This record gives sequence, structure tokens and C-alpha cells, in this order.
Amino acid sequence: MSSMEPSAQIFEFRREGHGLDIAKMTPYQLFVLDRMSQLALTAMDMGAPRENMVKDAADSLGYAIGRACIKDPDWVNALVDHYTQSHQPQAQQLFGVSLLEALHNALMDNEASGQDSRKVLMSMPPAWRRLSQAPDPAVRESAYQSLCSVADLYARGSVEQERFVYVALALDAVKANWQNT
Amino acid sequence: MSDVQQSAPKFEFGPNGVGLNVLEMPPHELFVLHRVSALAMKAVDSGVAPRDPVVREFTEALTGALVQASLENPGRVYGLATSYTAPDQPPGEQLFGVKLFELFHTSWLNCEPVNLDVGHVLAGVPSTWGRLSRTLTNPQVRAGAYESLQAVASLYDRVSLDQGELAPAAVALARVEENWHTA
Repeated sequence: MSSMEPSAQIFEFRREGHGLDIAKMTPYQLFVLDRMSQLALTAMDMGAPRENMVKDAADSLGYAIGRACIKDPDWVNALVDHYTQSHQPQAQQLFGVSLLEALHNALMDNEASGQDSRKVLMSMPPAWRRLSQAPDPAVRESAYQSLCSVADLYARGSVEQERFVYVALALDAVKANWQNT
Repeated sequence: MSDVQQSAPKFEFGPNGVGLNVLEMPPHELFVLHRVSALAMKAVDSGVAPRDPVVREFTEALTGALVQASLENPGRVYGLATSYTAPDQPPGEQLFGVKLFELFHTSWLNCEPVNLDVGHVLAGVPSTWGRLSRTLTNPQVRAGAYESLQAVASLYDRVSLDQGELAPAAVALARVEENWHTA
């Protein structure tokens, strides 16, 4: 989920631009669009003719989700809750993991710019704990990689910003227990 | 965010559905979704990506919505197809316009019996493809359009056996097909 402004606005969040508003989509539609654009990118990587619009669409979707993380983290957090449940199919759980990671990254930017996002940040460790017990090993592995990346980011951030210390500690605790599961 | 929990896990397009409405989408977004869907199908069909029910579901939902839109708002879909096949459009857009025309024309013929009250829609079919045979110049687009024309013409041929009123259009369409390569 990129924070770089995309070159084309195919998707948007809450009428910020001219594309399809992801805030009006159901969670499943959003997942399907993400999955489709990933598969289309795969097709191009494997030799299908390059089409800028497909790359633009994927970038734009990532950017719109990034904007959602910043403008309405509760909305994204609810999606994370929805998708990280173990009864969801594997691809949807993996989408939940990527949303959770994107949310952490965006909130760190928010915090750095002075917005207080601690409430949302502290509500996320339960999602990581749930993922640490995911029955599907592929989901657990992917989630662990994401957790390591996020925990590392917050550990580094906590050196300069004291408020990140609590999040970094909470993430470390999940990580430590994960290794024990 | 209670609506997240309440939303049905459905994905459909269409004026009466709960999904994204193809008629409300800006034409470019509709085109991009179509291309994304076509490429994702290609990834799955060629074995590059694992079989994924989402891909077929998405593609069928998009096609279904365009069929529904063709029947409920023919003027709008015809207008979209016309603007995408304009000579100044890039080949990708033109091919999408051709696909829209194919879908538009076959949608009406797949209704049983064909509703002849929409004679103006049906009567315009040969002239539409005749125009495309003259205005499309890109070889790849022409090849794609010829395939679409064959699909429409063969359906006309079949349906006109039961509904004789469609025979003149079927004959005219067959003539366009014959003359395609010399147009």
C-alpha cells in the first residue's frame, strides 16, 4: 500500500479524487479488486504485454488504501478484523495481513506528523496474536514476516519518539510468544 | 464501521445489484477493470497464477453487468462502445469498444424470443459492423473485431431460423463479414 501519489487515479478514498471510491465497496469487493490487480501484475511479470494502466490501477488501489489508513484507521482496522479471522480463505487472510502491515506503516507516519493514533495502534496486537495462531502455516509465516518488519520499524522509531515505545514493546511481546507457539 | 460486518460477501456489478454499478463508473475505470480482469484471466489460463475462483467470479460479474446494462440502458452502452471504437482511440480502447459491441448485440439476441420492439437496436447491427470494418485500421484491432463479428453473425444466423423477421439483418451481417477483408 503505497504512500506515493499514483500517476493515475483509478481508485480513491472518500471522494478525494476522481476514481472508484473504495469506501463504498464491500470488504469482499475490495479484496477481489486487490487480488485481480495482483494477478494482472503477475501476468505482466511473466510475459504478458506490459500495460501501464494495469500498473496504474494497482498503484492507485494501494494509494487509496494508504489514504484510508490515514484518514479512517478505524475503517481499515475493521477490515483487518474481518479478514484475519481463521475461517476466512487463505487469500483473504493474506489480504488482511497486508492491510494490517499497511495500517501500522501509515499510523507511524501519522504519529510522526503529530496525530495521536495510539488508540488504534494499541488495538492491533490482538490481530497479530490471532494470526500467530492461524491454522494455515502460509498465513502464519506471512504474518510473522510482516510483524517482524513492523516491529523493526517501531523499534527504530521508538529511539526518537517515546510514544512508539509502547507499541514496540507490545509488538515484541507478540513476536516473542509467536516464536514459542 | 459496523457496515463492514454487515456487508454481504458478494461481488456483483449492475444497476440493481449491491456491487459497483457499471453505468455509474467513469468510462476509463470501466475499461481499466476490464483490462485487469482480462489479464488476470490470462495469468490463470496460462498457468502462471494458480486457479483462483475470484478471477472467474469477477470476470463473470463484470460481463453479466454489461449484459444487464445493454438490456436496460442500450443507449448508454451503445454510446460507450461507439466512443471506444472511435478512430482516435488507442488499440486497447478500441478492442474494448469492439467487445462492448459484441456483448451489446449478443445480449439482445440471447433473449428468447428476441424482443422485436427494439427493432432500432437490431436494425443497426449490420451498419455498426460495416462502419467498424471501414474505420478500424490497426491490424490487431481488426483481427479482434472480425472474430467478434463472426460471433455476432453466427448468432444472428441461428436466431433468424426461428424468427424470420431477423433474416434481413442476418443476411446484411453476413455480407459485412464477406466484405470485411476488402473493406
